[in-house]
Amino acid sequence: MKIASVYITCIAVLVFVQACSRSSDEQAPMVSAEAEHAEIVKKDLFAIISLQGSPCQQVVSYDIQDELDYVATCETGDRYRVHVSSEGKVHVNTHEGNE
Amino acid sequence: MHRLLPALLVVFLASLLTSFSTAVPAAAGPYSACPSVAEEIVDLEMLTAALRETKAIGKITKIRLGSDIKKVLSRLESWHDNKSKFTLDQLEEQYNLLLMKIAILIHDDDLFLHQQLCNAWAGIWLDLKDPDRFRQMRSRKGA
Repeated sequence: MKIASVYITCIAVLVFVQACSRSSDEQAPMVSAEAEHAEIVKKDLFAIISLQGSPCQQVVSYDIQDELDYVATCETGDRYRVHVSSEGKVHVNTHEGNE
Repeated sequence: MHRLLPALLVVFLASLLTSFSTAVPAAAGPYSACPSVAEEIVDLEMLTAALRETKAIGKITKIRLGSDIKKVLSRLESWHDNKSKFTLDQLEEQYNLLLMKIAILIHDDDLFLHQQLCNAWAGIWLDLKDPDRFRQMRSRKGA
């Protein structure tokens, strides 16, 4: 009788834990989509800055100036303007402007 | 003098209008002035084929780019199936950043492909966001 009650308790705990994890999974995409997108943008900006040969270990934040025009801030505090010209050329320039 | 007044007013207004039209420059947005090319790239398949052929990009970078293109396509597929967590604006931004990576890789060593990319930039996105054209592209790829 005791063994049966232990089994039932274990099963109840498992069901409860699974239900909790499922509900948090369902809620997660709504919260994390923005953050996930921002991470993709940061990684791509980092790749563009690195491909251009400018020193940057990681892009920690970015501002959108205009269409295809960003100011990326690296871990070191260096800031770069990454933008596309009318001829489709990608430019990476050191950005001296204020926040 | 009274007879000349309307004529003077017309001249004044005309000069005012021309000064306005010359003072405000036309908007020069990104890839709005791409050099014209003899052979145009019209879709993503042509672009990926051209990227495979170009000597401006190393083999490992080509594999990475291929994977990046697949990721963007997979996210777009989810969006077309109403299963995407990203908005269309976010996906457009991801597409633009992918093309910026490609552009910076090829600009110095394959200017012709860069010019083709510049011309195709907006058109490929229109294909990708259109449900019918996107499905056609996917079915051609699957065939």
